[in-house]
Amino acid sequence: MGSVLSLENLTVTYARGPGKEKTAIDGVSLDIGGGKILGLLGPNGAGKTTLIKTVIGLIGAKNGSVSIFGAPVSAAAKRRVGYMPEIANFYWFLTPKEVLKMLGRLSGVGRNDLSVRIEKTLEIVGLSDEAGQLIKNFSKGMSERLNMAQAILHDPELLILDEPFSGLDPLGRIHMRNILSGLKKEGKTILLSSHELSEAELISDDICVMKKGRILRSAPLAEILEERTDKSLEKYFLQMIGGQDV
Amino acid sequence: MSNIFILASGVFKELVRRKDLYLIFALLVIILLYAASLSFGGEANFQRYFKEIGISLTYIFSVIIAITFASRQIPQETETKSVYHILSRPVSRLEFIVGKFLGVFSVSIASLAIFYAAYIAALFLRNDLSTPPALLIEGFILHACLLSFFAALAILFSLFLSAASNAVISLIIYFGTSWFGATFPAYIYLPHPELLDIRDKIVHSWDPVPAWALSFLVLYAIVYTALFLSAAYAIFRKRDL
Repeated sequence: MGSVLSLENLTVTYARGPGKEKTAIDGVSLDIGGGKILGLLGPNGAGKTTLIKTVIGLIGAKNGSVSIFGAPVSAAAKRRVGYMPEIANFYWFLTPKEVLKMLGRLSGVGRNDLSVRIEKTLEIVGLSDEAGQLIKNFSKGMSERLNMAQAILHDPELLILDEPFSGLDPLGRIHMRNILSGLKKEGKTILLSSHELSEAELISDDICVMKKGRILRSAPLAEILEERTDKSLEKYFLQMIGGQDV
Repeated sequence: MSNIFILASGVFKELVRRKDLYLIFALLVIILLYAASLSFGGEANFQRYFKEIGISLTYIFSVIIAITFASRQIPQETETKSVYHILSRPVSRLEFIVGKFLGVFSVSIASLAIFYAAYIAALFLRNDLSTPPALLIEGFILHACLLSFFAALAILFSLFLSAASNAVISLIIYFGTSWFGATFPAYIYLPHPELLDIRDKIVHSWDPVPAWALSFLVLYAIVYTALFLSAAYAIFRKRDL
């Protein structure tokens, strides 16, 4: 399969007072092939979330380009993308069903398909019994599951997940991993950023390590592990980001 | 266009489930019922006093609803990051702003309808049928325009002010222009929402506003609403989230 998401020399800067700016993403180029899971790894401040938000259009790039399915980001392309932000906050006084109905319609899902898709998605994430509850009564774990639900609701071909394992208990992590494995089997392409190296190792095909807005290395996970006698992604990661003494 | 209505309907649903709206309703009804039960200074004087108090409360409370709800919309979405779920979808930032405005405006209009119903009911309770229905309808239309004006203004201010400062400044503009008129500082440079306020006509049962003047005032409010929302879009369009 060809490239689903392609970044070309992407540079993102933030204004830091008059005439000053900080480079958050520095000339990043990256390609994600169809049907693959790419684990985006890096320490805090590496630029993972900024990169993801730029792809989605929440942040503007100073230079470079983003293309999804071979074309610049457009409304049509966005219909084929599911995004799960790191922070799972929803409207407190709506129910998951109402939120999904609103977001599904904004994603262009037809009225006829929408109720079926909502039922199915709530079942996948394990929220069917809480479908009619107000979100203000949700625990963090339940909000995370709803966060995943809104990302997969419209059956997107490309999923962009920012820290999908954060805030989940061990059972929740296993559930999330199973959902991601299921999506991979369906042929979805997934870009996920994570601090959870063990989780990323279990599900990723490719690994991309970032530090200070740059890509240190992007390669198939198998290739990285093959190079190492200890076969440890964690040690490789620490070596790459210069934290081997930790 | 459909995205705007989807967003507005979400805002409407969320706002009508909040307790603060019902507290304002309850407060208005209690004050109106209490005022309706009083009598002093002669029947004619009190009748006028009651009409004035009732319609003034209706104006003030509805403007408070429009301003406080509008001032919270975008800051709340950006602070909690719930905006990401919307703008990562094929929704433009203009649709987002107009959808938020329309949601707040529709809640404000629904509240206004309830306030007017309570006010008219209180007038009936006092056997006061002196206000021509046409005047009440005109009052309602212009009042709705006033809410549109302030909801749009509060949405614009919310892009660079905190919700609390936004509410305070918007209310100062409302009270300043409607109470102090031409003596308000920089009066000639400011828009004039007080033109949309026909409380005196309702209180004294004067002649309704001529149709041409009513149309002009509605257009005046639409132009200012559009200007404020366009300015809000110009600021929000390039903002990194």
